[in-house]
Amino acid sequence: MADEKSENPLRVGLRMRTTVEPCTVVLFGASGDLTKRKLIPALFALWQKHLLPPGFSVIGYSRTKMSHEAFRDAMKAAVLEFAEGEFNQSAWDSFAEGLFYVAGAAQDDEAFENMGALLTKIDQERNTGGNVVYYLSTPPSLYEPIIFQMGKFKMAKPEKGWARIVLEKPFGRDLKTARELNAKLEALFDEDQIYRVDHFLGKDTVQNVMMFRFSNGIFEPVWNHRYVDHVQITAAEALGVESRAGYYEEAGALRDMIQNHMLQLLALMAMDPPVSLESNAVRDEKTRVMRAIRPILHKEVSEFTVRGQYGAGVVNGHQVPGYRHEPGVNPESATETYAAVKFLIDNWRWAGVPFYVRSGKRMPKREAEIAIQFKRVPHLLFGRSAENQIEPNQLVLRIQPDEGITLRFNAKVPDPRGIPGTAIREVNMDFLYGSSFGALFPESYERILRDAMLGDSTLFARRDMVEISWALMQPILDVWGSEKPDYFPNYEAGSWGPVASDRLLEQDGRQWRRP
Amino acid sequence: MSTNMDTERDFERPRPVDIGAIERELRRMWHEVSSDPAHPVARARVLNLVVLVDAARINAACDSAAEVAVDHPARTIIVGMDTGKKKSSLSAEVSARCHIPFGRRQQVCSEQVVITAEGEATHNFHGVVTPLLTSDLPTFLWWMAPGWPQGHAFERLAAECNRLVVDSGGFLNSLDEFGRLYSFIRDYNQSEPVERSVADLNWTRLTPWRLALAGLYDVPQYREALRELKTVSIHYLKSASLPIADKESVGVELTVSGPVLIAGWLASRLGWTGARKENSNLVVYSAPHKAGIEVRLNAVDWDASDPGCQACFIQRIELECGGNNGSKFTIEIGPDFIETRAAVSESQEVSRRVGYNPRTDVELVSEEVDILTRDTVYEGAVVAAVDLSAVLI
Repeated sequence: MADEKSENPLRVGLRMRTTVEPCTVVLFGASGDLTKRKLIPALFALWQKHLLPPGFSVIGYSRTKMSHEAFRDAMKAAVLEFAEGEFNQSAWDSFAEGLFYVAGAAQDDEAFENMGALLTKIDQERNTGGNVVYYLSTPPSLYEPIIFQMGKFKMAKPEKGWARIVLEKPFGRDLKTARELNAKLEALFDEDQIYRVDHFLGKDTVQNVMMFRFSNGIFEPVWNHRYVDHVQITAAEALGVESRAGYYEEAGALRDMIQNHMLQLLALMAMDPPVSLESNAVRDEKTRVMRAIRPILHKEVSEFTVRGQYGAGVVNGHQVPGYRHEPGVNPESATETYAAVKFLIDNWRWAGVPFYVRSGKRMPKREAEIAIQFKRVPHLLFGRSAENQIEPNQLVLRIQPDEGITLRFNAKVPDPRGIPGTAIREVNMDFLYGSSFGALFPESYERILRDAMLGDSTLFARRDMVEISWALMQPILDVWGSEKPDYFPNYEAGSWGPVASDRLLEQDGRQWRRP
Repeated sequence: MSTNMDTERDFERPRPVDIGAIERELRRMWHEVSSDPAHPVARARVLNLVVLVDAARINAACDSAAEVAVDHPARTIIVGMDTGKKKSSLSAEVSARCHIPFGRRQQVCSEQVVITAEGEATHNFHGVVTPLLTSDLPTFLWWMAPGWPQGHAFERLAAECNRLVVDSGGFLNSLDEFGRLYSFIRDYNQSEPVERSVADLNWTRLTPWRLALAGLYDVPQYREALRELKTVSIHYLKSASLPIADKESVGVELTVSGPVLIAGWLASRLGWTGARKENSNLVVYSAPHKAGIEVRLNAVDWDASDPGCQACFIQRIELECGGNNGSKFTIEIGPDFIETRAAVSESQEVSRRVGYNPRTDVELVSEEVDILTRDTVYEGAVVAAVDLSAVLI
């Protein structure tokens, strides 16, 4: 029989993934939105897929006072509202037996003692092996107090089992605070115990970027400066700030999207093939390419970046207010709801190829995509005319919605009149996930939670990646922070962003793709 | 042969077509489909699916194949065979089977060709099917007909396809046929030139049990306890007591093919050898570094007061460990759940229930058409099942 270190002999040939070890997940911020909308539904989905073992447990921790039963009822309501698929009462009853709750504030010694006692009791009764995942789904301002308490109660290095800590972005507000947070974490935890979530990385379509690049031999030879003219990475939302003004006013588009999700997508696009799929092998390559991104100097910020804030407009046929008129937003807010940055990568593969990255709220539609524009043919045989619109080839990887891949190329237009000619048009060759694979995408948090419990850090940001990305943002933050944008708002809700963003590409003889 | 060329605009209704004009009619159908901009349709194909079925069950086969195509858009060719007819005849119909994927507005359509072969034509319909197979797509051949897969047309088509889908539970009539099953699989896998494999729905049905058992070995504490495994008891329903309407297709010994396969799987994966019979339902294996492992196959009566799962032959699997720890693991199927219970050493028993409904053949086939490679784990289980069944007979 195989021992713990060898492969499970019964798992061979099974197409489902490994069940995680028994553990308890402690959810800090359990009364919050993320727990109800994403975390508990994802955990229940994992339970339903045989991916969590008997005895798996959850402790919800939050200031709201409630009993274990009230917490179970609240989580059932959350699953009924936010989970996909059919609800099975028997499965829920079994899952709910493992849900517990402790009420307390971030620095409540008594509550932390109660939590420790409950963890011990759960371990004894439900055989969790002493293993714990601490998931901080709280506002970032509570990270440090919670980490302080964890140090005080010696929760980072349990005597029995393992402990891991999972933190949501934003990870710090800037380079200084990110380094401080990392230092506080690493005073208690080893790096391999720390899981910094970027939920974009949990999406199947984002994982497909690497699969696509490294399982198809025809693309790698052209994936470089010889053939690629530029890359555009877009994450557009039709929604406004909704109920997140409190967070967003302090963050803005650069911190909320560019520093984390967008740079991760850029890294996946630009990295060299890793030597293996082991988590650090992949993250080493991503970090290597991020180190090659040319820092934007303070004096270059106006040339390489654009920021914007939406004003009133019409989105999806509905009149919407401008950002400054949203609930909870300062009427003179200087927070950007749109950011665009031009990055250059100084390495052999990408020298001279700009990566244009943009993200914004209140754009015409929700769209996240990576578009690779290839260079034009070296010599136009057919000539440009009204009939011939010979455009360079484009490869577009759509992250969401309409998940799929499009290759755009030129083809001759058949002329039914039989008149000889060379009318040429662009056509699309489409792969759509929805048509080719009928199944729904699993929720990205299922993958993230499962990987954290399995100890697989591939989809999580490493310390160096986080600090490099903040270092790239810092000059932009410094300049934007010091220059009041008295031209805000500068784009209408429902448009593709400020005019200045178009000029960012036009100055290079290029233009934004309309997603 | 049918010669009608139906001109109906509703492309989802089958249209009879001349055998020699199937491909042309399909093109015409898609041209009509794409001409209505108000109702966009996406044509999709990721595989070829050929279904061989008794002519009497052709409609059911069409519906099943259409359901498979929801997740695996396909060019589906269904052949209904009627060997009883004296006159040789081949006729065909084409249609599109469409659905709207969740969250989208556009219909996704797959094409379906239905061929009826009567009399002598049941030996040579492969000549009509082969040219219809879309090149560069994997081809699956689903034997839905009764009995062992056989016939000249079947053999010719089997040589063209990448994966054969059968249900050995439908043609294994006695335990002594496990040897024949193994020979069939081995011969098929070794045929040249195309690399081929066999999918067996009788095996696919066991996936939930295999998952639950494998999950036990994922957990280090459980694996430690399972080092002292001494007894595996597999409780399955006696067919005679099954409260299901159609018992004619279920042989008395048929229901034991699943338990024998899963016992064979455990034996092949965990290195148990040398099965010897102790009594009619108890076999003892030798296992590395331990005393014998007992495997009990217990036929139980249907109990209306404790329903379990009436469409599931296997009701419960128990693993009892010896030594000082006395751990016990139970996997049991309920009306709508499968429950795993673990009592390790003297600690409290913990359990996990997950929602479960017996899967339909469509769901089983949908799982199998995701795979093109040989399932060597299945083949190993069959080899071990051959040994086990030889001992049991």
